Amino acid sequence: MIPVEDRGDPPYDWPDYRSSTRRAPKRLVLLPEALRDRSGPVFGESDVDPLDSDLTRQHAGEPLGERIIVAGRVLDEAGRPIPHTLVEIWQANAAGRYAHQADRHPAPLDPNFTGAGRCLTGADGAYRFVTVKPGTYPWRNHPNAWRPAHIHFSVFGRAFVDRLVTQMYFPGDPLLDHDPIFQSVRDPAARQMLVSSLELERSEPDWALAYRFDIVLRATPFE
Amino acid sequence: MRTPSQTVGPFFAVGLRGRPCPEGPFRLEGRVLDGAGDPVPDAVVEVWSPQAGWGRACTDADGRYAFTFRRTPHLDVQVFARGLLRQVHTRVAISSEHTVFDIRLQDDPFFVV
Repeated sequence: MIPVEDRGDPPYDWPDYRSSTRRAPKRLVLLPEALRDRSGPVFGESDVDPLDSDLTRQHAGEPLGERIIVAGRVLDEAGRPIPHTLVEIWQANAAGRYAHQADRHPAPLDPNFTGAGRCLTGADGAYRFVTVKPGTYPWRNHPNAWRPAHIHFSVFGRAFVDRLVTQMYFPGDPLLDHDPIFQSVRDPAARQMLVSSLELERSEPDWALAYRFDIVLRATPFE
Repeated sequence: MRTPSQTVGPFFAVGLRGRPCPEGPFRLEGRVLDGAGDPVPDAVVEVWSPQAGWGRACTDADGRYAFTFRRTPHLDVQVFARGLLRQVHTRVAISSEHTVFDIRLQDDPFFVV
């Protein structure tokens, strides 16, 4: 049996998440060390616009909802920062609706909110977004299924094999206990890494609360 | 401990833009198919090699994707989709200017990295 959950990742095959039944791979083989490529894409300032990191300033007016700061660092398991790497996020608006034609949830779209952001990490691996807190929304996985509020994250490590797409959740959300996607991570300590923490020190008084979300990738050795 | 993976979900197109590889005469195309053989119209396919660089394509309604790129012996391929709690990893050899590579999520072997 191939150890597919060795990094705290969810299993591919997780029947509680209905969409996995026809899509989860069934034939897994260990990547031979000879095929392990330690290289990966490099990004630069031309890949992002400074306004991309402020999701509340991408339209004529301000979006509705609770303005928040989401900030943290991209690190490897050895604690080393991953500098100048691309961080992409996307999310529902404050009412729980995505600006996507396939989202049929009858909650209002916000003409002042697209819900997409990107930025590069600094030399210290740090990133920072300003956005609004996403709403919860129903989905059809099972009767009365609701996703906890979340922000999707896409990050690149030093090597392409270290690439990670994940979701950030909010502390104390009672829906976390009922969400098959969050619960697919079986190790409670690993699961907790998906939950951001309220960070008053980084909040801007009279303006926005801050949530901290650090992202830890595999420590692929340098070439 | 690493941050665990979570699915890219159905609405990634809000935030993940497609991006071509640096231009070249080589072409890779194919379809992403589920366990029933049906097309996966909401998959993200990314390719990488040191020679060809990085590219990202979203599948169309028929599950099709395509890339053009420079000469490279192979491309590492990752696929993200609703229903995949983690991406899948594979590699395709590039031995001619036109390569057809269908990705059958439940029939093809994938690497655990």
